Amino acid sequence: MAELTIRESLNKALREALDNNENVFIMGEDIGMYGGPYAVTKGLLEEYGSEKIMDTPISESGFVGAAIGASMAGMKPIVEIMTINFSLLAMDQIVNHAAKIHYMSDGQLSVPIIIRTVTGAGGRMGATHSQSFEGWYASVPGLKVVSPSNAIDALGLFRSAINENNPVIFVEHSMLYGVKNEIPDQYYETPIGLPKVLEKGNDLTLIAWSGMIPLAKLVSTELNKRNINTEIIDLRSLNPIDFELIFESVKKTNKVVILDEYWETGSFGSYISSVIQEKCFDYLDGPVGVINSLNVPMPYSAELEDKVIPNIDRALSKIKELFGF
Amino acid sequence: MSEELNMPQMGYDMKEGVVIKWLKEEGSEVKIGEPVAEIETDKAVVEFESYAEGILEKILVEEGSKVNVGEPIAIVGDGTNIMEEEEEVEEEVQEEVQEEVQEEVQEEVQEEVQEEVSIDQKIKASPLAKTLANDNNIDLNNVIGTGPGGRIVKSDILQLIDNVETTEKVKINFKSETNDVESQIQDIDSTVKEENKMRAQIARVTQRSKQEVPHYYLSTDINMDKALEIRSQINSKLAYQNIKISINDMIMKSVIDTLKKFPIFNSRYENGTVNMNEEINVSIAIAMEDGLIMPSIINCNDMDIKQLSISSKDLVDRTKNGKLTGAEYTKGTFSISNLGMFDVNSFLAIILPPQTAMLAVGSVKKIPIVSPEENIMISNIMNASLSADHRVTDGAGGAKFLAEIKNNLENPVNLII
Repeated sequence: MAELTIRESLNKALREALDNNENVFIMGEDIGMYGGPYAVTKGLLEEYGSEKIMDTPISESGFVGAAIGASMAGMKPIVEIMTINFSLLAMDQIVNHAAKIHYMSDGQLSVPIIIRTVTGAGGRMGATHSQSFEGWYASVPGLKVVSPSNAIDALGLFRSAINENNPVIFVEHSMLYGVKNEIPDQYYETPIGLPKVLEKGNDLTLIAWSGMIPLAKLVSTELNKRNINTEIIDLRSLNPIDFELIFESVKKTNKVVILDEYWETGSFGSYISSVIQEKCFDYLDGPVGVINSLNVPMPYSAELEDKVIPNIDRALSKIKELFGF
Repeated sequence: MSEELNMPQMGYDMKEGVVIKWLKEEGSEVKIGEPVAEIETDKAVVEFESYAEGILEKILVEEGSKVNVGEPIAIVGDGTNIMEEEEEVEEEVQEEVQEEVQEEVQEEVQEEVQEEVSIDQKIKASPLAKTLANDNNIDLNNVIGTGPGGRIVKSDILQLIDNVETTEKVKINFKSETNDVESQIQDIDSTVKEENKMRAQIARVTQRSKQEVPHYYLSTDINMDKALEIRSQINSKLAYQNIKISINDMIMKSVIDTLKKFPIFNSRYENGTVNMNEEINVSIAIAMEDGLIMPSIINCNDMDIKQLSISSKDLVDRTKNGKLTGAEYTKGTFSISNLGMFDVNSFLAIILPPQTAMLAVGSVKKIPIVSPEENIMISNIMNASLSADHRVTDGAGGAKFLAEIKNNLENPVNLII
């Protein structure tokens, strides 16, 4: 057992991929000489050389398109887009090409790329660098979207992504790179699409993923003090999702709150909420709650940013409003 | 021209009523104030008096139907619509066919489901609570919600199931000598439901009042020596008519006279505004075997003490027989609660919204007091406490109001002249 941060576990995952498959190469901005904006690719250029580890110009549409082309020709590209905010420049490539080619070629072509990118707020990065667009990609048929909250899942999901023959958007959270976990020595994979129960409880189900998991744990701790036992479910994957585990939990606790860092309007959490209310309606003992970021561009000020992102005060008062505890 | 008769609101928190019986047929003439139907509320069966005049053109709901307050139950007009309808026969036939189809479909659906649909429209309950209630044949009307905003949640139903099971067991064991257990269970079911109904009603009204109405309270002692003396004089004069003025009648008379001087205490508070009531309808709290009813004497502005006495006795009698009119149930403008028959010194009442005040009176007791001449003497003292809505009146106004009631009773000649 080795204790690794998410950053280190991803570095390990990338090395494994490079070692095990000669078709794997990595491209992105500042991933080589600089060692990666979040230091995930640190040391890889020195070890694997510039044919495998390629620094690109600031041209997201260009290098994502190049990677899609390479993957169609048999390569296994891993692309890093510095943040999910910049992925908007490559959205046509991702949504109109990567997600569609397999379908439109009637299965003759596949796009087995992994696009790693960084989501989330909390880093005092201002309005254009603090957004959480993973839900957008999760809504597109043809894309798989994963978003780990710990080092074990980061490694396990990356291994599954490498074995995927379809495009995977691998979403990392900027505030979680330092999260440390004991990594099993034995090889394992984390299946894409399977949520995980992080904490068991009978009174309330909290559903979260990625950067909202630490908040879910905080809420759980607070409620535990009042003898309310929460069950925390980490989605881990946003598309696909095996809902059965969620339904089981809801049927047990009868109450659900979803934590989602995206804005209130049209959030992925709202989608989860709609599925739950439709499939578990008769088991619900209160409204399905969704806690989002406030509907404003992210303020640069630290005090204001902390107010906009879902926080413990807002979560507890919402839970009180919904369920009276 | 025609007008709809809507399900009346016959109580502060009445949300629906059942049309038990139509007293008029389609095509018959109705006058304003004439009873057209018997309506069952949570509390009792009351006659629904028409507020429109003309021909009862159409009865919209069958006997036994539950109807939400404000929804139409009949149409009153000049009779022309009956003629028009004949011309529309063709359309109606089509509609009827559709209705028949719908009815068939509905019949296929289980009765419980129908009940649940109607419950959905007016009672806040979580989906799970509804499922549980349905599975256990619990009427959500009888459940008090403890969730946010009074929502009925899982725990409320589970608690009720527990209670009912215990009650049933106890009563069945008690009567186990006879064999007809099934009919016993039915009996028990219905009594449990009836008790719960009145309890639930009182629970809803008092809880809502305490939550919504900012009460303030004022209390005073009233020397009843002269009132008792004049009362015995009046009663000896009226004995041949078999009329007996009670202390409560005197209190009522004093309150009515005081309300005329301070009409703000005869107002109702609705949706943030104070509305004055022209009529003074004094509600009196009447204890029932398993609860409490607050019917009122309608338009007692100009009643003298003898009329009041007759009216209040009549009201009590009809309350016990379940023969009150809708107005008597719902049109009260000021309440008096008297626990004088029990050994109660004083108590504070919960206002019955939308009324804005209530007077609570205790027993008349012989107590040593200091007279104005500073002698210790024995007097008949009665405590009266006013509960009033602070959104409408303030303490100083309440004090004047209470002082006037006291003054009338301590100088009871005021009550006669």
